[in-house]
Amino acid sequence: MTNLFTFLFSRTDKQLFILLLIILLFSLNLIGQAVGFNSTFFLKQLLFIFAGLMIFMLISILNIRFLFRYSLIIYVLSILLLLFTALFGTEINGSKRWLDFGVFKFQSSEILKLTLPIFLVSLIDYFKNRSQTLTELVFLCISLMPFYIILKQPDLGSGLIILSSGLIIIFLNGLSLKKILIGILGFLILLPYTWLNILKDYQKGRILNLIDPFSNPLDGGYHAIQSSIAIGSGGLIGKSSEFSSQHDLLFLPETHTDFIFAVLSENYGFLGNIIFFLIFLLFIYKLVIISINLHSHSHRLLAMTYVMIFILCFLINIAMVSGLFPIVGIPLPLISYGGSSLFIYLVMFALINSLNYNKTLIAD
Amino acid sequence: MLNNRFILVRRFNILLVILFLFLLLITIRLFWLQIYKNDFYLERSKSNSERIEPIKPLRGLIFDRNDYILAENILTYNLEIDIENKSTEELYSIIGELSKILSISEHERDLFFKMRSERKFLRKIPLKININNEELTFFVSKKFLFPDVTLKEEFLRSYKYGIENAHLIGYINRISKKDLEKIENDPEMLDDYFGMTHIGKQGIENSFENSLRGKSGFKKIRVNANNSFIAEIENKKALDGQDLILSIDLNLQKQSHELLKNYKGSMIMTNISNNEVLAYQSNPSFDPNLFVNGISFADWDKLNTDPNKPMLDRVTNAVYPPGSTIKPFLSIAGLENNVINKDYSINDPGFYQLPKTKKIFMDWKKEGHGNVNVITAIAESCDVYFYDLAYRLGIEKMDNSLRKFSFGQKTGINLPTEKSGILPSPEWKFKHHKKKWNAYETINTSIGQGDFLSSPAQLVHGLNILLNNKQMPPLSLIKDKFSDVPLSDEKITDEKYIEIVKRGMQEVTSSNGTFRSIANNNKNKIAGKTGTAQVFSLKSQTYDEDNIADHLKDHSLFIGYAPHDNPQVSIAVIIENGGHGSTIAAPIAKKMIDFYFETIK
Repeated sequence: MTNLFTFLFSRTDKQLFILLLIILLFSLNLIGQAVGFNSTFFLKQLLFIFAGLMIFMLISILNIRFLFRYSLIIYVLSILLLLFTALFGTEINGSKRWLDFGVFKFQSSEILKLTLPIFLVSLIDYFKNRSQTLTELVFLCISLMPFYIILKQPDLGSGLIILSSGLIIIFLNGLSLKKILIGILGFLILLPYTWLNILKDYQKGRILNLIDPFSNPLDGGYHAIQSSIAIGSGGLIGKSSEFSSQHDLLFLPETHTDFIFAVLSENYGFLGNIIFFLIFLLFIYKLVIISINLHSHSHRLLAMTYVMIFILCFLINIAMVSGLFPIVGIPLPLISYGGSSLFIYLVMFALINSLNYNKTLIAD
Repeated sequence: MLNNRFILVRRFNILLVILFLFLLLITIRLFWLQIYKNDFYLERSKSNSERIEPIKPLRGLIFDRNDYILAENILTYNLEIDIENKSTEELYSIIGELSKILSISEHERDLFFKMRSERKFLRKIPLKININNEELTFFVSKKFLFPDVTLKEEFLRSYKYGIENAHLIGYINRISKKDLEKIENDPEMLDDYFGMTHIGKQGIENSFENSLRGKSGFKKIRVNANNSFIAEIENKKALDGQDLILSIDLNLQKQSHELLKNYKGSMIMTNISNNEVLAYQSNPSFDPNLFVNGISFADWDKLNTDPNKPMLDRVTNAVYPPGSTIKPFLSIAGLENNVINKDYSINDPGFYQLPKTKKIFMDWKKEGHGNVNVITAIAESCDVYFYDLAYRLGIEKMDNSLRKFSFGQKTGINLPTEKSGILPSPEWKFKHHKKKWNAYETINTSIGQGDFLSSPAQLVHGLNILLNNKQMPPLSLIKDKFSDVPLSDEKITDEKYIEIVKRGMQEVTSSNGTFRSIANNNKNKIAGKTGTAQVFSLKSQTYDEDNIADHLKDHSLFIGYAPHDNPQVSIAVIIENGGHGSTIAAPIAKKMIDFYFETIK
């Protein structure tokens, strides 16, 4: 047993792992503060973290070259999973995003965060001798397919994250400046159409609430107001005990999931936020160094894409909670309560870790 | 295909820099929220969770002089709806659902919405007041269907013997827009009325509002987002209203109501020595309980369009020509100005010719009273005697004397709608009609006609001043309340004049007086003065009592006291369109006085 652990640890980047543990402990602390240290949420999250770390270890010791070989199948299976969810998924608050496994509900779109980049990266070699434009168009189409299905769930936030993972790969792979400008131009032209025909009223409302949350305090604006109050009342070092907290009195719901950052801000203040950012920056720095130093182009590309998705979700969540971004259902990576999101990120880091350990073994 | 590590890392770095700038933006945002606007958001967070709930005081009870309760607070259950953040449509649908299990009248619904539009600072508004036991149990069993509807224990004002005391006690009613303006303009009042829904509108409920009401307290509590109670932060107790013990005697109220029930009129009975009111009755009356929670339009319409004006308080808010009841007071004026004396007599041929004119004034008795002095003039109510007296006295001196008996001035009784009446004088006439005084008007005034108007309360107050021969405190409705203002014991006139006039009033009930019908049946030694006031000035027509429209018939008046050798109680009675004072008002007054002496023993 001891030998097994020694074996597992020997194949992980120690600093990365320790930072990961610190972040996960912090997450447990915040969830405990949000919903109570003896609540089922807390205990379940403890279980998720434990299971997630096991998965992390297991994947870390795998040589993941085979993933690239079967990437098409993995991609097709992911798409099928999305379609399966659309047919048999559990509907919560009017959207079908979850597959119910009894113990926990799995948000199937999360899996695309992992599999879409793997598929796209695996195609790089295949398209080595084709025209750049063709490659980029094919990549775009491959990314748009899951995006469209997720959009229909409906889950705009997750859809955009999946789409952006594809766009990040296209960008990192050397998209020319001209095409970037054309893309931005196209986006701007399509914007009014999107506003009028694609976005639903509640989605428009959330964007409008961003401009003036108090215009609609009871509907979409409620979260924005209450979370601003929670953050704002935290002050420099957190709210003193003479004031009752927003989340204790239930004014801010869902604090253990998407709005966990508000609990952090309310309880630890601006200083707490800065320390939290520094820990994450250190963790990201570690990931960036590992990614850059991987030996193969496709490995680097995959790792960098994962890191980008992680940072993007991290920033979007905080921007949303602090009222800079519309409220989209994106949890705070590694911190928010929930198994799906946690497992996906831990698998991501495990894959990066594995690529890092095996880099000497893989022929470039 | 660019498969160059350098380009990849550069692109990666570009993205990292962009995202790092995004993080900086977020940090600035957090600085703004947490450091710069910290105070603002702390305050918001506090107000998020703090609620102030009013604690209403109990309104003071009202008792009669023998501690019978006249106005009380009874425990009722009201249905209230939490209106915060609810649209009119939502409220309509809640009320619609409620009306499936309880009866909710249109009136109740209208009142609810009226109150909602007027009372901006109320969170919960009553919909149904005083629900009965059956509805109560039914609602409790279905309560889970109505999260926004709460059952509130509330004290409801209730007037026992409401009809018998309606004009005296008055009533409370929901606070109106106009009341609210007054309350909101006074911060202290606003605190006192915090959360209150009712205010005294009429009668004692109105004039003693400040002491009956008490002062609201409040409870500051912390609640969570579901409005569930978490903790109490501050508690200021309410100050309950003070109870009032009236000088009024409930038994006399019941009796007076009974005596007046077939008439339009009023009576007031007082204790002569201290000017306390013992009975205060106006008829027709109404049920003040109808008003407590907002009177329905149908009831209001009925009360307002009734030609008999049941809402009119005929004791202090209605003024009538005093008619011959003024004669005792006028006698004092004549005596103290030496125009007449005890022995001065005239011969009454049945009419009086105003000197230097051809104007003739008739006596009510066509054949005349023959030889009359001041005592017989009062006893028989001889008009000619007083025409002559008034002419020789002149209006100025007459006014000066009558003013001492408080004619033309309010008695100061603590009721909101007292009228002052009119004591006519040349100044008054010039002020109101821009005309000069005519000599014949002095003659009219002498028999309490013309512009002369006084309320029954004024008549009894004037009588008490006369009987005590000193200025009296305002008529008091409160038991054993002594006036703060020390009154001088100075006699208002020579005691011997008072004795002469009292003798005259005593003779009224003798076999020669206008009220001789009780001459042999006057064990309580009632003395007084009858009066018949013309509603309609007769010019050429003769007054034919049987063939005249009811509303043009004379008012019947009586003022009196008993026993004449040791005056204890005084009374004024008026019966509108009742005809002669001696036939209607006086017998009622006698019955009342007899009842008084029966019951106090």
